[in-house]
Amino acid sequence: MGGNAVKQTKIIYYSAFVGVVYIIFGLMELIKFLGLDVIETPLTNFNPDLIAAFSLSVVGGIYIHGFLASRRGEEKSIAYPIVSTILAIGLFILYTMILLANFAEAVLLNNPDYANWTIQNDLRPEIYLIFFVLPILFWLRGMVKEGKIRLI
Amino acid sequence: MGNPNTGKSTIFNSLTGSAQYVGNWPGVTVEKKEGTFNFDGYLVKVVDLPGTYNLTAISIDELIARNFILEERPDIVLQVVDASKLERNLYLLLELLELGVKIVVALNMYDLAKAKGIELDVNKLEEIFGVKFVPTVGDKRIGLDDLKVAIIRTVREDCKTTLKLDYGEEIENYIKKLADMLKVNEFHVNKRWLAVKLLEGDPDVIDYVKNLDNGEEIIELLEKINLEILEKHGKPANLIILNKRYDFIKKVVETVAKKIETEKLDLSDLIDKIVTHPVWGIPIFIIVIYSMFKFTFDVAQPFVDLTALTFSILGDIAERIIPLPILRSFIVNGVIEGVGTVLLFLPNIAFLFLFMSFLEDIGYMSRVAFNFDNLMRKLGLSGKSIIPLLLAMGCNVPAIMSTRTIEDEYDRKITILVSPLIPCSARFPVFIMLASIFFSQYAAIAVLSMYLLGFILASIIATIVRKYIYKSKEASFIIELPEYKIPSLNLVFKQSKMRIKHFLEKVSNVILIMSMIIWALLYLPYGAPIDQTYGAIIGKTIQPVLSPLGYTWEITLALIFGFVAKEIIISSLAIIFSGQNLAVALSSILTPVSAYSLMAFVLIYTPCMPTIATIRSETGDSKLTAKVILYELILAYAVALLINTVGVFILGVI
Repeated sequence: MGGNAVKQTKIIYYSAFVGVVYIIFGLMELIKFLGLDVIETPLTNFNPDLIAAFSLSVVGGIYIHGFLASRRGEEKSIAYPIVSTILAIGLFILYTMILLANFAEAVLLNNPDYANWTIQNDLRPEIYLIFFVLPILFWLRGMVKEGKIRLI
Repeated sequence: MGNPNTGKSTIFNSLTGSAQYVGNWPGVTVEKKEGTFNFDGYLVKVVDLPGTYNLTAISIDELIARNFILEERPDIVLQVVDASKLERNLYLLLELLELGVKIVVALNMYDLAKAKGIELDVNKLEEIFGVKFVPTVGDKRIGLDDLKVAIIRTVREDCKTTLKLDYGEEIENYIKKLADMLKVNEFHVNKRWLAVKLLEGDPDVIDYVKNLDNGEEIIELLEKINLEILEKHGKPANLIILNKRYDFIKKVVETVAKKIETEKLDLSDLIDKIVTHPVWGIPIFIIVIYSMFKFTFDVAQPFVDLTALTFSILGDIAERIIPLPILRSFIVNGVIEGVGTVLLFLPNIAFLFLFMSFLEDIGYMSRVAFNFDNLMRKLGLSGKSIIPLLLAMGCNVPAIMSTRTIEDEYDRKITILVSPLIPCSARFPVFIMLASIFFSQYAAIAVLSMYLLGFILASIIATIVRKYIYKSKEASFIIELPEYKIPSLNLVFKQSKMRIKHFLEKVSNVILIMSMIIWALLYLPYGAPIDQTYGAIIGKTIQPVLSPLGYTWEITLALIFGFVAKEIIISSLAIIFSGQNLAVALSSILTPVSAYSLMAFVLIYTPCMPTIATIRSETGDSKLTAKVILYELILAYAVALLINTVGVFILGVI
C-alpha cells in the first residue's frame, strides 16, 4: 500500500509537469498566431493555430487542475488525469491521421500542392507530446489491471 | 416498449434484421417502426415504440406509445428494461401489468448490470411479477433466441400475470367504486386500470370518461373522492398511488437485486466528473467539435482528390466517346459536372457522419445536452430543445420530428422555428466548397463559425419569440446520462452507412433531376451564349434584389435552385461554370467577404423542401410554415447584408 501511495504521489506530480508542458506549447502556438516570434527547434514545429493552442492549453489545464484537486484531497481527483489523457490521445490520433492523409496526398497521389511536403510539416506538438503522456497512461492501465477502476 | 435509452431499437433491429437508427442517448425514436421475424413457424410482427417512463402520456412520442397499446391491442408487449437501472424501469412494468396485457420483459444491458456488481435473481422476478424475464445484451445479440421462445410461448399459452398491486383498503375501495361505474369501454381495457388512471388525474382518460353515458356522474364521484383523499391525507390521490408503486418496486429490488459493493471506481462516473464539469465541459466540447471538423476536412482530403480525379477521368472519357454535341454537353456538363461536383464532397460528408455516429455511440451527445441546458435556457430555448438542435446537425427533418418529445406546445413550436437555423449536412458541402476556395488554411474555422452563427441566431430568435409571441414558462428538463461505452465499430459504420445511403439517394434522384433541369435552362435557347439562356434570364430578373449583397446572376440562380435542396447550389454553379475551374470562376465573382456572407445566406435562408413539408406536417399549420419561410429569407438577407457592410468597412479601414 505504501509503495502504491508513493507511486501515486509521483504520478500526480508528474501529471502537473505534463500539464505545464502542454500549456507552454499551447502558449507558443498562441504567440505564433498573434504573429510574434517564438523560439523554434527542428523538432517543435509550432503553427499559428488558435484552436490548437486552445486544445493544448485545455489538456494542460485539466492535468494541473487534477494536481491541485489531489493536493486538496478532492474525492475522485484521478478523473482529471484520466480525461486529459483521453483528450491527449484523441488529439494524437487526429493529428497522426492528418499526417498520414497528407503523406497520401504527397507520395501516393503526387498532388502538386504537396510537392514541398515533408513529414516534419505535420509532426505537430499533439503528436510528439504523447510521449510525455505515456507514463500516466501506463499508470492508469495498471490501476485498471489491479481492479481499482471499472472499465466501461 | 420501455423507458428511453434502454436499447429498444437495438433489440428491434436484432430481432427483425432491420437497420433502424439507434443512438446511445434518449429520445432517438419518436415514431413507431415496424418489422417482422420468423420463429418456430410463426411470423411475428414487431413494432418499436418511442420510449416512455409511464402510461400517463404528456408528449407526442409518449402518446404514440400509449395509444398503440390501447388502440392496436398487440398480442404481446415486449418491455425492454435496463437491467442496471431496475428500480426506474419497473414502474412502467407495473402500469402495463395493471392494463392487463401479456408481457415479456427483456432484461437488457445485463452485462452492464453484472459489471456494476449487480446480481439479479431472475427466477424471483418472474415469481413476483408472473411474467417471463429474459436477460439480453442487445448489441451483442445475446439472449435473443430465448427472447423469441418466451414471446411465442407467452402468446401461445395465454400466460397472463395474476399480480395485482394493493393500494391499501381505502384507495382500493375508491378504485372499486369507480370501476363499477365504468361501462364496457371501446378500448376493452381493464376497468381497474381506467379507475386508477382517473384517480391519477390522467387528462385523456378523464376526457374519455366524460363522454360516456354516465360520464358526469363518474366525474362527480371522482371529484368527491379526490376531495376526501386530500382532506384525509393532505396529498392528492396520484401521489399516494405513486408512492405505493415505488414502495412496492423498492421492496422488489431489495429482494431480487444484490449489489456487490466494490471499491472500484467507475470510469463512466470519473469521465463525467470532468466532461460535465462547469468549467471544463464547454472547452472539451469545443475541442471535440473542432476535432470533428479537422477530421472531416484534413483526413478526408485524399479521398476528395481521388473522387475529383475519378470524375475528371469520367468527363474526359465522355468527351471522347460521345459524338453528338448536345448529348455530350448534357452528359459532361449536366450530369457529370452537376452531380459529380456534389459527390466530390461525399468523403467529407462520410467522415462527418462517421465522427457523429462515433460521438453518439460512446454516449457523448447526452453530455452535450446536459452541459448546454443552463446556457440554452438563458438564451430562450427549452432544455429539451437541445437534442433536436443536435440532431439538426445531421438533418433538419428528423430534428423537427424529434420535437415530439417536448411536452409544452409553445416550447415545441419555438424549437421547430429555430431548428432550420442549425447547419445540416446538406449545407455542409456548400460551406466546404466556399471555405476551401476563399479561406484555405482557415477553412475549418470558417465552417465552424457557421455552426456558431446558427446557434447564436437560433438563440436570438427563440428569445424574441418566447418574449413576444409564445409566452410560456420553460419546461423542466430531465435527461438520463447513459453509461459511456466503447464504440462498436460495426454500429458506427452501420449508422454512417445509413446516412450516406440517404445522401446518395438524394443525389441519385433530386439532384440528378435538378441538374438536368438546370442544364436545360442554361443550354436553351439552343446556341445562345450562356448569359442569354433561360436560366440567365431568371437569374438576372431576380439578381437586382440580391445585388446589395454582392451576388451576381449566377449566384442568384444557384440560390433559387437551392430552395429544393442545398446541395443543388453546388451543382448549379458547376453547370453554370462548366468547362472552367470552379475555384477560379467563383473567385472572379466573389470576394472573401461576399463569399462569407453567401455562406451565412445559405445557412439561414429557407431550408430544403422536405424540411418545409415536415414543418407543415408536424405543426399542422400552413400559416406558420409560410412565416418560417418568410422570416428565414428576411433574416438571411439582413445577416448577409450586415456581413458584407461590416466586412467591406473593416477591410477598408485596414
